[in-house]
Order: sequence, then C-alpha cells, then structure tokens
Amino acid sequence: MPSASSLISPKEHYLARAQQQTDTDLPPWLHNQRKTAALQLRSLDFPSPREEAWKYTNVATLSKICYELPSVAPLTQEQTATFRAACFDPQSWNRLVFINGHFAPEFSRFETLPAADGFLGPLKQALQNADESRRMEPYLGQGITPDEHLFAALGSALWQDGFYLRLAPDKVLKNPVHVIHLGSTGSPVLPHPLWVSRHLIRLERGSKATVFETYLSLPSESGLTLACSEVQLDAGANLEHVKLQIEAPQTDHISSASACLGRDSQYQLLTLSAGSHLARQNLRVRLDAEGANAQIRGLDLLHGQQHADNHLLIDHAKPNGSSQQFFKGVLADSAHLVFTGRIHVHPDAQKTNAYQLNKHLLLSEKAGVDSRPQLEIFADDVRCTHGAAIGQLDDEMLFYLKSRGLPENIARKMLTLGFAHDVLENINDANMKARLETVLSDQLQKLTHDR
Amino acid sequence: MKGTDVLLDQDYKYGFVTDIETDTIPAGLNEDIVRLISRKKNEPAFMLEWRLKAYQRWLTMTEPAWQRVHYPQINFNDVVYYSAPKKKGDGPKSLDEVDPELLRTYEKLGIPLQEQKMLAGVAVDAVFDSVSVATTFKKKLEDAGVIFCSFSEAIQKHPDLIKKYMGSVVPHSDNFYAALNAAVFSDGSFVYIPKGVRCPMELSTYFRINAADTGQFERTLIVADEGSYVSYLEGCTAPKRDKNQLHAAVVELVALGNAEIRYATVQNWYAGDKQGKGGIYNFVTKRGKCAGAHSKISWTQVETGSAITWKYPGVILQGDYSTGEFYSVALTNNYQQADTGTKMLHIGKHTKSTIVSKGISARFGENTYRGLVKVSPKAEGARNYTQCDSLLIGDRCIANTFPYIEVDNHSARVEHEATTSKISEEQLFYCQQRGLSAENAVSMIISGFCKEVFNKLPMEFAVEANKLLGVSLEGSVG
Amino acid sequence: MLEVKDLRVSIEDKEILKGLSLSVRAGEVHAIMGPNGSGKSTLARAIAGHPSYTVTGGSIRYDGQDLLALAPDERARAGVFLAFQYPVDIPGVGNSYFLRAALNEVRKHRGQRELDAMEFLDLIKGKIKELDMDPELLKRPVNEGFSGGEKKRNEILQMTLLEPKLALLDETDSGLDIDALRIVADGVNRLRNPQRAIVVVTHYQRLLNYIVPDYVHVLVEGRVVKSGGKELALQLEAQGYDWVKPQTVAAH
Repeated sequence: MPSASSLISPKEHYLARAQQQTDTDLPPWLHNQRKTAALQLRSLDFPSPREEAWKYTNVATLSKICYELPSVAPLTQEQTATFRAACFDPQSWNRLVFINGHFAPEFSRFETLPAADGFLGPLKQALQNADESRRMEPYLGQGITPDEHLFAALGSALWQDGFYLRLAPDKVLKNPVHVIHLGSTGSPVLPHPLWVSRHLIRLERGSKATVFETYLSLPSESGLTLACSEVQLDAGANLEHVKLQIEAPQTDHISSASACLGRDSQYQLLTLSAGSHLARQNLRVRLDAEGANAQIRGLDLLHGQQHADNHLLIDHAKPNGSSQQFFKGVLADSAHLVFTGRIHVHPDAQKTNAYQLNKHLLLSEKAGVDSRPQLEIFADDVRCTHGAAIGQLDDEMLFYLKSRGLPENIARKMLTLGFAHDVLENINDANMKARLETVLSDQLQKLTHDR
Repeated sequence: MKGTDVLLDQDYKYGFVTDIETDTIPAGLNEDIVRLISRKKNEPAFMLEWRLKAYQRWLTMTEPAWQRVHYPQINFNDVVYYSAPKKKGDGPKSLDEVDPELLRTYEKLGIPLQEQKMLAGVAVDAVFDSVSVATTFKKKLEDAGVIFCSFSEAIQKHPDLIKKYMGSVVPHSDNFYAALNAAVFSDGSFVYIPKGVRCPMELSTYFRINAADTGQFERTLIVADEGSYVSYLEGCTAPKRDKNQLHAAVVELVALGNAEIRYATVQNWYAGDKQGKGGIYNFVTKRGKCAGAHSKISWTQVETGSAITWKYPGVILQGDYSTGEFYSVALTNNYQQADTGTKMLHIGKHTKSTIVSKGISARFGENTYRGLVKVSPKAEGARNYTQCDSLLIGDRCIANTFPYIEVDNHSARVEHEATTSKISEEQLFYCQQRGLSAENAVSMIISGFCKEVFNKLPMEFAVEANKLLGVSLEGSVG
Repeated sequence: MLEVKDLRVSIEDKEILKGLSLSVRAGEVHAIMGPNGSGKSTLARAIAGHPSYTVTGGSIRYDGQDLLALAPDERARAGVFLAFQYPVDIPGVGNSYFLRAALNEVRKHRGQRELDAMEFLDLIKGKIKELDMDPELLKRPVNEGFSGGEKKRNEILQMTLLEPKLALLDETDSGLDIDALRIVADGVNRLRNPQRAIVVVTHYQRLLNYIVPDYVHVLVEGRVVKSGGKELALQLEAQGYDWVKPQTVAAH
C-alpha cells in the first residue's frame, strides 16, 4: 500500500503509537500497565494458523496494514443517520455512545449514580475519581492480559476509552444500559482507522444489571475494531449481557471478553454477529466460586466472504457450577465459521454440570465450518456434554411445508428463521428482543435472497 | 466404592519372560543398522532403497509434541532395532519345527499354535519380538486363494504386491514414527484377499515383545481386492519390565471396490506398575484407504495395555459411497496415558463414517479422545456420526475430548455428541439392592458402557475383551 | 421380622428421620403414609442401605440380625427388596442379563443352584405374562427408555423373581394409570404369604384399595404420629393430613 506508513512494519507503527500515548491524567498504576503492554507488544508476533488457537483463522491480511487511531471529530450527517438507526433504546434506558473509541457526551444520556450505589459512565471519567480508580485497580486489565496474544497487547496499550459500570451490593439497576460503539474514519479521513476500546463491569454482591452493546460502523468503512471487556460478578450478582455486532463488510473485528463469576452469581451472555469481514471473539468465563452459573449463547449470520471465529473457554474452577453454551451459525455464499469451545473442569470442581451445543446451517455450496467442541475434565463427579451438528435444512420439514402449499423459497426462509430464532428465546427485555429479531430477519433476508 | 478397587488391582497375567536364545543386533540407529536389518532379512534391493529413503527422511523430522502425553525424551540410540529367536537352520518350514519353548509361550498366552488345539476358524500369524515365528492354517487359506504370511515372506514371494501397496496409505514420510518404522521395521503380517473372495476364516496376528530394550516395529499390510471380505484381529502382550519399551507399528489397509475389511485390536501390552514404572510406549500409525466405490473399512480397538497409547486409526474415504467406522474402548488406569481417536477423511461422494469412542479413566489415568472429521469440498452428501463418552472412576483421573470437525461441503451432515460422567451412586446402589456385589455392579456398568464397541468384535474376542477390561480395572477406587 | 427403633437418619447433615420406630412381623402388610417430605422414602431407602443416607442413631434389626452392619447387596441377598420410586437407567446392560445375574446372586446365597440362560428364560416368561409386560423389555437395557409405568412393572417383576422376605414398595403407585395399578397390585398380592412382610410407602390411599394393609402408620416430620388399621387410610383420604399434624407433634 503506497502510504507513508508502509515504510515501517505495522508492529513498529503500533509501538510508536504506544509511546505516544501520553495520557498524563491516567493514574500511575494504569500508566504502568500500559507500559508493560507496550513491552509485551514488542515480544509478540501476529498469531499464525500454526498456533492451535488460530488454526482456522488467518490474520495475515490485517497484519500487513498499519491501522491508525482516529482523533475526535464532529459527526457527518451520514454518520449521524447510521447512528440514529441503531438507537432502538427507549427513553428510560441509559445510553453511552463512543465514536471512534472516544466518548461522545452529546449523544449520550445516562443516570448519574450516587456514589453509594456505584458508578456508571465512561472509563476515563471514572478514573479521574480517585475512589473509583482504586476500586478498579484489582480488576481492570486482570481478566485479559497483554501476554495472551498480540491483539490483547495492542488493546491494552492503545485503548482510547470505554464504559465502566459498578454496582454497590444489592443495587439493582432498573434501566438497561445501551452502549453504542460507532466506528468511522473521522477527520482527516483515514483509510484504515483503528477503534480500540476497553470496558469494565463489576457487580458487587447481590446486584443486578442489564447491558446491551452495539458495535457498528458506516457501510464504507474498512477499519479494525479491538474491544476488550472484563466482567467481575461478586457473590449472588446477576448480569444479562448482549453484544450485537453489525459492523461494515470491510471492517475486521477482534474482541476479547473475560468474566469472573463469584459464588452463586449468574452471567448470561448473548452475542449476535452479522457484520465484519473477519470477526474473532475470544470469550472466557471462569466460574470462580461455588454455585455459579453461566449461560453463553451465540448466533452468527454470515454471507459473502465473511469469516467469523468464536473461541470460548468455560473454566469450572469450583464445585457445583453449571454452564450452558449454545451457539448457532447460518452461512450463505462463501462464508466460513469457526467454533472452538472448551469446557475445562478443575480437580476441585466436583458436581459441575456443563453443557455445550453448536449447530450450523450451510445454505450454500461454498460455505464451510470448522468446529472444535472440547472437554477437559480433571474431576470425577461431573456431568459434561457437548454436541455439534453441521448440515442443511431438513428435507422432510421442507417437504412438509411445501405440501401445505408454501413455495420453496418461503419454506426455506421459514425454516432458516426457525433454526436461528431459538438462540434469542431467553432474552427477557422486550425491546432488546425486538431489536435482535429485526437484525435477524434483515440479515436472513441477505442470506436467503433467491439465488 | 471399594468394589472398584478390587476390580482395578488385578495383576497383569502376561508379564512373564520367555528364556530363549536370540539373535540380537547392537543398540543404536544409523544407516549401517538399517542396512544390517535389510541384509538379515535377505531383502531385494527395492526394499533397502525404500528403507534408506525413509531413514534419510526421518533424520530431518522432529518428534511430535502436540499430543497430550508426557514421557521422558526417548534416546533412539538406546533402542535395539532387531531381535529374533535364533533360527535352527533355515527357519521353520512347519509348526513341528518351531522351537517348543516358543510354542509353550503362545500356549501360556492362550494362543495355542497347534491347529488341532486352536479355535476353529481363526488363522494366526505369531510375531515374537522382531520376527514372525509361525503362521497357522496356511494350507486352508491357500486353497481359497488368500495370502496370509509374514511381511518378510511376502517381500520374497509377492514383491509386486508389496511394491504396489506398501506405503500407498501411510507413506514413508507420513510422520516421525511412521518414517522410523519404514526404516527399521522387522516383520509383521501381510494379507491379500483376491477378487470376490470371502476369507473363509478369521485372520489374526499375535504380537509378543519378549527381549529387553527392544523396540517392536512391525508393519502390517492388508489388501482386499474388489468384492472381497476379510476380518482380522491383532492381539499384543509383553513381559513386565521396569524400563519402558517402544512399539512403533504401521498398519495399512487397502479396500478396493465393494471390498470390506474389519480390523480389530485387543491391545494388552504391559501397562507399567501401579506407580507408573515401566510399560510399553505404543506410538502407532494405522490407516485404511477405501480406494474403491462401495468399499468399507471398520476399525475396532480395545486398548487396555501400554503405558502410553498414541494412535489414530483412520480411514481415507476416497471411493464414492465408501464407509469408514471406528469403534474404540480405551482404558487408562493408574498412571496410564492415552491420546487416541480417529481421522475420517471424506473425499468421495456419499461417503459415510461412524465413530463411537468410549474412554474410561481410573485413578491417575489420563484419557484423551482426539479425532478429525474432514469433509472436503467434493464430498457431496457425506455423513458422519460421532459419539464420544468418557467414564470417570476416582477423583484424580483426567478425561479430555478434542474433536476437530472441518466441513467444506454444504450437503454434508455431521453430528457429534460427547458426554463425560462417572458411575452414579444411584446406579451402583440399584444393582447392589438387587444383590450384586459392588465389584460385580461396577464391572457390569462398565461393560454396559462399552457394549456398543464390544458388539463389533468377533464373538470369542468380545468375551475376551470383557474379561480383559474386568482384569484391567481390578481394584480401582477407594 | 423388622424392628426399627428410634431411628435417626440424615441426608447431607439435614435430619429427616427423627427417632422413628416400627415393628413388622412376618405375614403382615404395613402401609406408611404421610405428607410430602415427611420421610417416607427416606425410611425405605435407609432400610435398603442407600449410601447417601446416614444413620445417626437408633437401630434396625431384621430377622434377628443388625441390618445396619450389612452392605446394601448383603441386605438384598438376605431378602430385603426395595421397589424404587425412580428406578435408575443402566445404559448398555441388558435387562434380562441383569435380572439373571441378580437372581443367581440371591440363589447362590440361599444355597440354590444357579440357573442357566434357558432355565431363566422359561422362568421369566411366565412372570412377564402375569404382569402383562412386553417381552421386548427384557432385551432392552435396564430401565433405559422405559415409560414410567414400565419401570414400575419392571420393579415388581424383579420382586416376584427374587422372592424377598421383606419387600419395601416406595411410591410404587405414582405414575400408574388405574389398569397398571391393578396389575401391579395383583403382582404384589400374589406375593403375600405368612413368611413374607410387605411395607408399602404411599402418599395416597388409592393403592391401599388394591393392596389392603393390616396396619397403617402416619409419618409426619420424621416420626410416626399415628398408627391404626386399614380404616386410618380412609380417614386420611377424607380429612387430609392436617388433623394428625397439630401441636401434639411439636410437643412430642
């Protein structure tokens, strides 16, 4: 690519950017953390398919590009329109908007929690508060560490901002939080913007919240999203977490989420991915105390040349935990989906009950799936199950619908929708569910267009 | 669960050593050793060339490290690559000439080689350390046109078949241990079933490691020509020794159009003692090729022995409408480790594969299922069903399940199911409430767990396998 | 035959039976009734020796011996039979094979000859008919894929086969329709004889119309609060459990 940055390698470019991160307003502990991340960055290479964890996802293309951090700039009309379309949230909800990784107060509206109840707001703002900074220190950057892979190091060294939610014991946040991440080239126009964000959710004992994240970008964008979310649930806490990824077809998305679950806590995560050229999600949930429960669901709706890779580790560290993973993919054209889900049960984690199912529907000849459901069991009194199924629409069902007078294409759409829809079934909030259903049916329209 | 303890603790019955004069070459591996082995076997030039090619290739390869097993570095120069019972003259022409000490050994192992004593309907090739010592029922098989002989004999008598098929499924360069085997293999069995012939009896090879410090590197090749059928069983035992011994075999199966090969293994090498000392390292490459349309290859294995088992009997499903099957029971007790499974490569149209794997880990055993199901873009209508179940006995054992599923054809249908669980207290209590001892209850539940696999074994061997499993488990939980 | 004295039983440190006494003689049929959670099933399972139930006090004597000193299978061979409320599945183990193995264990214990497969088949065929069971069930793995009713009948089949001295029926009526109930009850009644004792654990009186008890005991919160003849069951059916529950229990 004939640009000034092509004179240096992407890694040197990122190292230089890391040096330039002179946020003197960050607390010293965080400053050190960023420095360590930059050092890590120096010693790491871009992951290669020779590594087991990246066997089926090749990041060679994006490892040749020097992505650039955009600066803060006012939105164009087009950007505003794209953003508005994603705002399904009712007035009562909290909304935090990040544009190009920077907090955008003019589009945001959220309740200011009294200090006794916790904190809700942009991460950088929260760090200004000495009290919150101190509370954050044991968690921020601990779930996802920069030594894991180059992208984690990049995320730690370069993040711009993100959201922070902390709830004090027994506090129930009545109104859901909607976090919108809008990626755009900004100004001056960058060919390859880099959107880096970092989020932290900490629910203290017995507290409860619902968080909905939307990742989107303008259709013409070709940037890279790097997002890291860390979740800490203390005893009895309950988090419903939804992540909707509908970024532009030429963007790439690499995200890492890590959740640590305390005693009897409950974590429900749903990811719906329909956007991006390449999307890699690293999800790690650690059931760190007795009786924790994690329900992780995912739906990938892919077409064209899209490639998505869901990489999960459910880590049962303590007894009596239960986890359910339920992932589905619908693939059209030449789309490719990778699923790796590992259930790891530590020697201590007796009476673990872990379940995993991944099912994928191939709508076209060129679509492909690689699936690695894995069990790693070091305890004996457990019940662990996994299943995987890859195939196409059932001919019997298709025949049944046709015999009732439905034309082939309608019958196919109906069955495809039926296949995908059950992932959304456990969503409690009606607005959320409606939003996800809209995305699902829009996307299926693209996938099942009459070919 | 004291019942399991009694069950898991029983002694290894086949741990005796046969005192016999041997022809053993010095330990170590170099080109001269490869040449020496080939010379000892009086091999034609093409064999020596092939061995040397493999040896050169092996020198450039590194030992694989991705498998979930742990063992100290093997020094390949400490291994003896050839050891054979001393021949009297030209070697036995018939069973009457076989050293009576050897015959006694096989009798003790429950494999009498005298035909009148044998199980009717099973022909045996007996391999002792590096060489085949006897093959039974040769006459009867010859009448049917079936070739069943030692690999060495096949090289002399049927060089064209060897040239055509040896290395056609597992090339000399396939992997580290396959290359090693190609360079130094000493003997093994060869089977050829001509067109349209249904082999009139079960064929069986019985492998016995006897000498100390010796590696066993046998090579088996089975070719089933168009429309033929053969059922084959291998068994293996070794004496109890404190030092680990290496067994690196290669098995190749070729099934042409409409042919069927059933291959069963009851593997009962010495597993090491309760502290994990000694035992066989079983690093084996087994692969079949369904070369013709409507052909079928079925692997059944019962793995109870060896300190470490590491093998993936697979099937290349090249012919349209061909079928591959893998049925496995792998038991790891005490400090045994197993990383085993299968590879099903769907290439032809409407190919079908079935995988049923049952892993049992007891005490400190580590059991890993690792399998690959690959549907290539042209394998239209491919079908796979996989079921992997793990049973845990004791709270220090480990069970892993690592399937790889790669689908590049949309008309494929691939299903995978896996469970991991322990024998439930309720099941044990239920059986005990009906008057069964805890020990019987556990062995009944385990053989129930393994039933789908045992059902695939020839009748006599199913009984044997059941007993073997009872024996291997003797005494495991406290 | 069965002498339960001041029995205390806990499960996971929670005391369920709090000093229960019960005396059953050969030839008698006793019904244990009581509201949910009163400890009825606990009593049956503790007598059979289920490992999850810890006996913390009291004694159980059976046929003059200390039953608590015996392992569950020894109790079974000594003639104690429990028909499970929820019979467990045992995958891969054929029902017929299982039944024969159990029967032969019991026969061996009684000094009788073991039956071979053919003799066993003859024996079981007759029993199967009596219980109106599908002979196909013999070929299937133990309880796997059985309907609720089939499982219960399978329990009774095992009982008629093993000919216990003391039969404990744990909620055998639950999940049975009226026809199945009658067949099961007939099976039990055929086993009634002067040498055998039967203890029926049930929540409802319904079963007792078919298996008429000599004695009825009401269990509340881990103790027998009332004993009587068969008319007590009818009274409970009409009036519920509340009238036996009041303060008298707490004051006990």
